[in-house]
Amino acid sequence: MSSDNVLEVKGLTISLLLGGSYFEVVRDVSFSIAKGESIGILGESGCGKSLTGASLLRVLPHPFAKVTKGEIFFKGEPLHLMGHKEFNHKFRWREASMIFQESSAAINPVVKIGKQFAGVLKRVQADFTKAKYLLKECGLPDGDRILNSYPHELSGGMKQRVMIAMSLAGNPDLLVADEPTTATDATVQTQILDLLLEIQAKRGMSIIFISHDFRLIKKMCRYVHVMYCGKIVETQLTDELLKQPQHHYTKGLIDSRLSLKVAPKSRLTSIKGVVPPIEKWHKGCSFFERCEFSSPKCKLEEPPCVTTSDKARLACWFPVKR
Amino acid sequence: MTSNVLLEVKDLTRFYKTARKSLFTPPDAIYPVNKINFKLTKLRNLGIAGESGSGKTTLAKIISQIEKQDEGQIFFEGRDISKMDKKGWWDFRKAVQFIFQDPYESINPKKTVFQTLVEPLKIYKIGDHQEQSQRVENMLNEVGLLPEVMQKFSHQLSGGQRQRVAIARALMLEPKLVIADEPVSALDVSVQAQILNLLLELQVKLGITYIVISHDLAVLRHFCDDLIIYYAGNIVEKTRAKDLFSTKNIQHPYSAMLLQAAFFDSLSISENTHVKTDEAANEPATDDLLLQKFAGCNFYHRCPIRSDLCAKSNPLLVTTNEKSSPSPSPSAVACHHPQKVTELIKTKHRA
Repeated sequence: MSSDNVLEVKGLTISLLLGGSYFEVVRDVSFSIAKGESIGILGESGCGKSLTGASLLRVLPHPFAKVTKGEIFFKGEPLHLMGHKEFNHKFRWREASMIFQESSAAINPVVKIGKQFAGVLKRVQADFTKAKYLLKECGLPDGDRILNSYPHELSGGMKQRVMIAMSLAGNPDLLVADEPTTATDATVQTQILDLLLEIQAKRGMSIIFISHDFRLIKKMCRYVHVMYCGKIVETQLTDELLKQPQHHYTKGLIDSRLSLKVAPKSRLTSIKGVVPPIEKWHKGCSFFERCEFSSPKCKLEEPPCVTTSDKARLACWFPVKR
Repeated sequence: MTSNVLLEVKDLTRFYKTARKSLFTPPDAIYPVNKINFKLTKLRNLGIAGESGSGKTTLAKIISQIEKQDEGQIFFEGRDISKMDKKGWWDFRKAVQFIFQDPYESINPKKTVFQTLVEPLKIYKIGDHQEQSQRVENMLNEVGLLPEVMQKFSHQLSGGQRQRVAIARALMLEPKLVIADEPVSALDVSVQAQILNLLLELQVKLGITYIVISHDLAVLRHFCDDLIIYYAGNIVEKTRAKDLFSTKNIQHPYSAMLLQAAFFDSLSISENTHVKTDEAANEPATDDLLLQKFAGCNFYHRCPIRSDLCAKSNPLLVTTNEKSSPSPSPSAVACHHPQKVTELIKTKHRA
């Protein structure tokens, strides 16, 4: 454990209430982020990547999801032992904040932007004049007009910028970005990503970037954790991972991308089947059913998450041959 | 007109009146579809690319006549559809089908998969009960679903399965033209590949022509032969897909921008012309552009290569290579400076 890690997550387990009983949807997830670094969490929908992000800021849907096990350290301090009041006062907004997938759902539609901004700034005991400054930093020079308008008067890209500006109110050291560009247009997407990179470089923030798109992860993150069925199955430097994926799931995801190298109208390789529903996650390797290289061992025994090199990890009995 | 033109659209216009600013001013109108012309060749897939709010979905709805146009004509297999009798109308409806973006919303949650799929057959009174269920079963098989799903409701299916049901429903009546509005944007990457494979397979098997609407050029590159780049109610570029993606023949700056957005991991717009973040935020809202009031080029505010000329006059769609192109829809571009565009895009050097 090095001391310059902003965040360390150890053995995080989250349970979800389904039909009267709890199922573990995030299982034994561990990762860490150094200061100023950005990591990606990648996976298909239903893999628990959003829940992992939400649990860091305690915004899990209560009582349907709860953290049952695991330790979270923020700058060495045990975050999991912190009381709710202290968490709200000291941690949220000030140390870490989150931006969500759909800006229109995350911003109250019947309250003017200015008032919502004021609420956030009051929490962090900052002056309201800071709002204009933050908006300008996020590429909205026309601060007065923005603060005086309702969310529906702004375009999708602008709302996303407002949300990013708000998240910066308390000068956080950690930003959790949960698919921040899924709901925006392709051209706006590039702008938002550039903005995030710019802010990160300026403030030295750490970013956890949650996405299902390799293109975004490649642009944004140095490290990537691939999640499947609630577990991290592979961790690797992004460039390495794209060059030489070792887990069959990662390879499948990379191969099914549309890139300029794929001939038009040719048959795309795809992973057969879909992510199984939570009730059907079984004991062995969770990718067993969709994997082309599975053997009986995969069904019975769960592959441990083994550290292969410096920071790389892999959970597979029969990794892709180099 | 050659016989392999499936659909032709002439001067198609649709406008919506906006709220009056005051009691005494006449209402303004926005034009999501503004004098659109194009031809669709049989078995050549057409892609329509553009961002949300540009009117591309309205265009698709008019082609399928879910909405009516205000001006202009649509010819389907050479016949003007506004002059069709009842029988011709029914045939047109049967031949043109729609796949919607969000399978969560476009499938009736109160119906089982079987009821959803059998409904078009019942409306068109095709076959008796036994034949109908046989057809449903065959179609499910065709789109890669097991017969078990027949009695399920849509909430019991996954996103990919739902999209397969939506595709099956569109294909029940053996259409000639299928319009797919963002068919894969709501799906996961691995499922996306499955659905694209399926659609292409079915095209070969059943001889369908597709119109695909998307903001993702990566999808369109894979799927389409011809492309229309759509911006604020106007076509800004018509081209063959392979011309656009060879990147040497891009003619409109907006196409370059979309291309860069879709393949930002391997292409980049050269730095000095890249639109600055501050400027981008000052763009007029798309609705204002749709008013079609600005005298100059609609793309002026975002364009990296604009000149004074662009602010004064709106460039018309000019055909560029009529002679060399064998397709009935030759390349065309609406830009004053098409020759400058190619310099914008460059391939990133890979380590």
